[in-house]
Amino acid sequence: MKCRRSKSSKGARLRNRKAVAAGVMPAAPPGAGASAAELASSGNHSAVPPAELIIDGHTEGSIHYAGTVRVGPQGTITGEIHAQAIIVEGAINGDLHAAETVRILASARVLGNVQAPKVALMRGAQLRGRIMTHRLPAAETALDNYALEAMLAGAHQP
Amino acid sequence: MSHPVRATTERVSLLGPKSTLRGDFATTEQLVILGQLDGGRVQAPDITIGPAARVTAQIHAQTIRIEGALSGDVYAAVSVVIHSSATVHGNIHSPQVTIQEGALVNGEVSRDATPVATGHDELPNLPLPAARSVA
Repeated sequence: MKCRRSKSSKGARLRNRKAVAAGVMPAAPPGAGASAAELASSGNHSAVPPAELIIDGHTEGSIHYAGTVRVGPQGTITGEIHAQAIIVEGAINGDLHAAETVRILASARVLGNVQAPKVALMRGAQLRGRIMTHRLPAAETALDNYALEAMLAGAHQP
Repeated sequence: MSHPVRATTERVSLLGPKSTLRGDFATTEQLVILGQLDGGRVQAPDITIGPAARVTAQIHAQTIRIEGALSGDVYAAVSVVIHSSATVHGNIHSPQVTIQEGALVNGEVSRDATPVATGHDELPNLPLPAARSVA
């Protein structure tokens, strides 16, 4: 429900497409979106999830959003993103945390760690960082136990 | 992919689904792993880890396709493709990495494909044929 931005952005264009269309921000005509100045003027912004927050400009600071955050091809973000789902087409310098999915498309450049249950990295996408799709100790134990059991059983697995 | 062996390949080394191999493994043929491989280092120009395979090793190749479980670092000079059925626990070093949504991945991704010192230098440095184009 909330879009919290820790710092104001410079020259960023933030559009909440579905929220605008639903009339949540009636000041902005559909498609035109809200300017960064409008969005950055106060700390909190409400939207009706599942809404998509589209960032197609340069922003600095962390982004917390309950819906989907889409970083467009022109978007450059310096800071963390916390959201339900994150779609990246632009450049991000910071960690990505999603409750559901992170999709890093071919045009994206990501410098930072990615944490989400589902992560998709398209061919051609640039990523430097750690991907964590599950909790480390559990996964390690599961894999090792399986390997050990199979080894002890003489690999009589199908 | 219905069958992990691609028809374009002339020679294939195959570790069958009921096979277990412990130790280092190197080949100049395409390598398809359908069973269990527990080794220090695996080297081949083109490696496929099948959906039921369990591999614990450091992987060196041109192109790597992972559909099963891998625990270990991956060094691919050309590309890595991780299918949605895969479980990868280790760092991935390749200029081109593809991860399908649903794959379980824990590790760092970097574009640098140069292997670090492995401690397996006694393994012959096999000449690798030119990378095949990925269909």
